[in-house]
Amino acid sequence: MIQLRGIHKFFHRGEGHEVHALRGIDLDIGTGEFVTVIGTNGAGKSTLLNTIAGVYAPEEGTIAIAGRDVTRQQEHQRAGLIGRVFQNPLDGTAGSLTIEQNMALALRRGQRRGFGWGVTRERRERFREVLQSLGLGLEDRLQAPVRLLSGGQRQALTLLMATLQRPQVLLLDEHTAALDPGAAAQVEHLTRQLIDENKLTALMVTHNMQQALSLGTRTLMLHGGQVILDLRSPQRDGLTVQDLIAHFARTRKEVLADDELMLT
Amino acid sequence: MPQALADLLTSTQWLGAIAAGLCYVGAVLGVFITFRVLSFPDLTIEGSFPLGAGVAAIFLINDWSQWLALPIAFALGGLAGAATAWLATRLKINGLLASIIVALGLYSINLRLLGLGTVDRAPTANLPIPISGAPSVERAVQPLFTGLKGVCLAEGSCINDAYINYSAQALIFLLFAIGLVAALYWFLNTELGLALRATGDNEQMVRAQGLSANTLKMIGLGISNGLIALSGALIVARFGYAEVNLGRGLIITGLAAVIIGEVVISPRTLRTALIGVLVGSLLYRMFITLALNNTRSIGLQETDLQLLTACIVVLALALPQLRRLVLPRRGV
Ligand SMILES: Nc1ncnc2c1ncn2[C@@H]1O[C@H](COP(=O)(O)OP(=O)(O)O)[C@@H](O)[C@H]1O
Ligand SMILES: [Mg+2]
Repeated sequence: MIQLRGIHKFFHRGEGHEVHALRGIDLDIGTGEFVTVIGTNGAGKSTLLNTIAGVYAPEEGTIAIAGRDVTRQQEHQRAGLIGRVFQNPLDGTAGSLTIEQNMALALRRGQRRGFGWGVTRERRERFREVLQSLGLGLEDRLQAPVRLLSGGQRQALTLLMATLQRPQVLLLDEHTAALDPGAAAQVEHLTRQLIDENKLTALMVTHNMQQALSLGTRTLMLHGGQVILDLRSPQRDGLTVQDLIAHFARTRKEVLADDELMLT
Repeated sequence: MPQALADLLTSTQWLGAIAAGLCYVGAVLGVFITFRVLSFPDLTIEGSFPLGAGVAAIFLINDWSQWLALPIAFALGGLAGAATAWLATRLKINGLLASIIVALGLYSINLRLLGLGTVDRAPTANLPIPISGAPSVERAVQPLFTGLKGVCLAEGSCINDAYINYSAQALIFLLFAIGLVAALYWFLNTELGLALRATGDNEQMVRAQGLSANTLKMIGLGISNGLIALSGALIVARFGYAEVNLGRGLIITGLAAVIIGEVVISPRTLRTALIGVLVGSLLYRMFITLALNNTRSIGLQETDLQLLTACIVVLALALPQLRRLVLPRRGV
């Protein structure tokens, strides 16, 4: 579903403070795989997701999604293939628009927008049904501006919007990190539910190693812009956080301070 | 008319203020779109408004179809707005600066259209007045919709010719204003319109939904300045008068009208916000008319209008603050 070949990404290239954020990433993610991504701060996790999404164009390498070469496509041009949820709950929705208006925008992700009425009665019914299935109580607040929602509700809505029109790939960048524990658990549950129900291919960055192992079917560890660990079943099955750290240490022949990985 | 109102201004003066306020609705809507919907402070208005006026003046001078002047003014104003957006998004010039650049460039174009002087309707209908610095403008400008001059609104109200013309005109302007507000309400609720509103909020989200924020800004600024130019054309119809400096300070008065509307209406939805624009535009014109007519007695004259405007704008901008001080805090 996703193919990355020799991806290099630099920031401030040629300037004094050049950053080589991705150093030759080769990655094949199959259809229906749910990949969790971990790594220290600055490892390049967000840059990887942003490069897949088209926020950044890689200096080298090619990206294909669902068999289409999207390397030269801008972010909005490939958005039809990709659903995204960001770390900041404010980033995924438009605060001054209502819940149903935000959903109407998401319903047509990647498609041409015209002069058709945004929130038709038919769509409103559909939105209500979808929201009802989540049990967040948002189905009665379709006409409330999104800015009135809590961070957790906004993130749940963003997640729902990202899957309203089925994406080829779902990209989640620490999307529960900014939430309080209760809301984080709720959004995590919703993530699992939506990915399972829609059989989505997903990439989820998390700083929670426990979550990285308990969710998904495959785990990547990034370090210094490279994939240093790629675990799948059966090696991944039954793995503990301690195993993961040991694995990492063995691979890089260096011991990491526990806090650097921000264990939770 | 209630006696208190009649004491302040004559009915013709009230009607005039309302008609002018209605003409400006397009410009205020334009300011509303850029400042409130797109969050893009856009000063193109200083050039796009007189551009629309210039187009209307040229059409009137040449006796071309008055109705055709309006869509052409809209289209040219739209191009000006799109040009600003293009500079800002593609060439990455600061948005405010880009709009000032376009307004400056338009000044030359507007001079070509209007000349240095004032294109004026002759005081008496058939007397062309000489216009300094504008050799192309030899004929008097007739106001738009003169064809309606003879129309009587009601039995017996045809006595005062000026009044009839005014009320017929005011009615047309009213229909125009309501039409514009309704059209914008419709547009901002279409899929494209929702995308435009989201752009002012969160460009990141807009791109993630597969929309080009740059293109949307181009559309938004285009529509905004199209409406502004349309408004400029209507002003020529209202006053039978056009000059190259018509747009000076208009961004401030437009903003003042938007804020007055917000203070009076306290809008929570798009619908009420747009009604606020209509109300604000009318109230602002009434304030100005009132102020002008009642300050002359204390020695002010029409050229003091700018100072007066500045004072009213400060008041309008300070009103939310004042209201917070005066009124008890309301719940959200
Ligand atoms: N927009 C940017 N401009 C400059 N440097 C950046 C940018 N985004 C990320 N970087 C740098 O690239 C490296 C990888 O960052 P990032 O992908 O955000 O790491 P993380 O794994 O914590 O998400 C870091 O050194 C970071 O400082
Ligand atoms: Mg990150």
